[in-house]
Amino acid sequence: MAKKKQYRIKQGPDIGNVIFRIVLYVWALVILLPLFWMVYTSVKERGEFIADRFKLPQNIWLVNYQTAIMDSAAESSLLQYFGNTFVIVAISTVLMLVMVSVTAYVLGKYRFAGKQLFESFYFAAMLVPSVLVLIPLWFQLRQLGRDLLGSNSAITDNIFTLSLVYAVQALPSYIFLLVGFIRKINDSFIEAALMDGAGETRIFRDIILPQIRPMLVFISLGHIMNVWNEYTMARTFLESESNYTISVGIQSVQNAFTYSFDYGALFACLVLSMIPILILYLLFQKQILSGTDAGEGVKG
Amino acid sequence: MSKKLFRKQGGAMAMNASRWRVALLVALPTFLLYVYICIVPMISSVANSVYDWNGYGPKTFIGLSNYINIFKDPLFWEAFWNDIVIVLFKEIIIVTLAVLFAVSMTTAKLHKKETGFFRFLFYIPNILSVILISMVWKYFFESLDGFIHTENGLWVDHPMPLIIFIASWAGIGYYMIVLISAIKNIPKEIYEAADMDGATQFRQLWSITLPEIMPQIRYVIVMVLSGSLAVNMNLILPLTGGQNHTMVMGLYVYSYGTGQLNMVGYAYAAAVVLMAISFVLSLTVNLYLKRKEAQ
Repeated sequence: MAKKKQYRIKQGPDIGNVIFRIVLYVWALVILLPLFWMVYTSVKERGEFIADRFKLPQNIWLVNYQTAIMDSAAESSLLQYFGNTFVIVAISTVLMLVMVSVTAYVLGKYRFAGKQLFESFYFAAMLVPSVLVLIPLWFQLRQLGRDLLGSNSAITDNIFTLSLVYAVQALPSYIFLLVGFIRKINDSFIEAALMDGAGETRIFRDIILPQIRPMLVFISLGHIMNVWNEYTMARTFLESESNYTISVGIQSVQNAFTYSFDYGALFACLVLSMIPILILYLLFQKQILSGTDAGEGVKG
Repeated sequence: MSKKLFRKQGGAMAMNASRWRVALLVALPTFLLYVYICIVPMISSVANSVYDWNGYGPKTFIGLSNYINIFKDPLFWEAFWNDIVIVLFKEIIIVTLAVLFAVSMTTAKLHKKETGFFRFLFYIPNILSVILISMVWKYFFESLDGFIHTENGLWVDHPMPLIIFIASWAGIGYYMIVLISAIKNIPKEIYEAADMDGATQFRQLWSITLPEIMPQIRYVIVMVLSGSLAVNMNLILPLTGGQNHTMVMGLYVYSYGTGQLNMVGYAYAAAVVLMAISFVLSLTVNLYLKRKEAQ
């Protein structure tokens, strides 16, 4: 006890402590400043913005949000982009979950000839970021569209294709995460179930799924955020405005808004695009940050 | 004993009709889709990189000319060096600041609410979309032109420092949290012993904390490195589109592949070069990590 007290006195308020605190508050400011600027500019009247770009707005000008949603200069509205993005996120997440969990189960708990080969195939692509194969993939799918449907963009300019591509490209790293986890599940549960004559559906639902559920939640959260925020691939694949995701849509109205100095409306779009992700982050902060313990597995 | 163990494993992992159904109806189609979407494009870019091809019409075999032209193109080298410069500075900034913030978070006597606030806030850039980040910062710096006078504006005269800053800003939060959990895992006894020996706080930081979290610092360095080729491209495409000498390799492939130049064979060859670089990079990094783990 006495030792502990001594420890405390020594560590008491000192210069180091103050400096560390200042460092943290300065960085907090660096993060908040541009975001705060974005939020208050989104409710600033156009004339005020032109007069002074950094001054706080005199009054809250919500017309920007109306402009952002209603006549975003483009043919399709922001609401449509939101809808498309929601559909893509939903389809892609469901597909990804089914493919990842079943594949990880098969690789983790089945024994058949050549399994090792399948596994190394999955992990081979982990070494190359998916966006780097974007161009070859795009031409390949355009060719397929030309052969099957007689149109270059029939397959690529499609939100279902994009959902599938997002799901499949996410497979290697998520399978990698999950296989190790599934291997650790005790075989005796499965054996007992097999003795009872349980089919695979029941084994998967009653034994595997309850064990990997937290992992699946973590994977889904990461996937949802990645897909919601993805830009480069969506911009390449989606050609018709009615198919745009929120990122591509905002990029496409950018020029019109900045040309007319309507930065308020542009930033209103950005604020709106951020809200679903921010809600997700607020609700699941613990689960999202839990994955950052990944570094812990690395031992020297 | 070993025979018994073998039979036991066989019991849980042996195939039966139900298992073959799952494997053939779900796992196999998944695998085929994966091969079609992730593997075939890699192979086809290698196969088509030796042709003069516009993506649609007939192909003319030209051997390694595409590759030779890439290595002769000054724009490719600009892209190559830009990637290296961005990665190098990003490593220095991210590692320094992530360590500094993680140490600050664990050493400063913060109120519990302060800790929660910083953890929440510092991770926010990691959840924002690349479009939001690039647009806010793009117009933020553009607006600063009214205060900082450069000849043609910040984005034209000094785009690279801005890009490096934005890329680091967006990445630090995740790594800081990785390092915080590493610091928290250091046994308290080590510090108590050092305290008894009269070691100063700074001394403790230098000789205990930093050596103890070295594996995680290495992990941060590796992750920044292996993600960079993709991240640089995703950020620069909406920021500058590669204008004003900000070309990077990913964007180089992208512009030849989607532009009006009809040089698809050439774009494929560039993609192969990029995949090779990224492959070698990750392989080296993985081998290095494995060796460290074995030690």
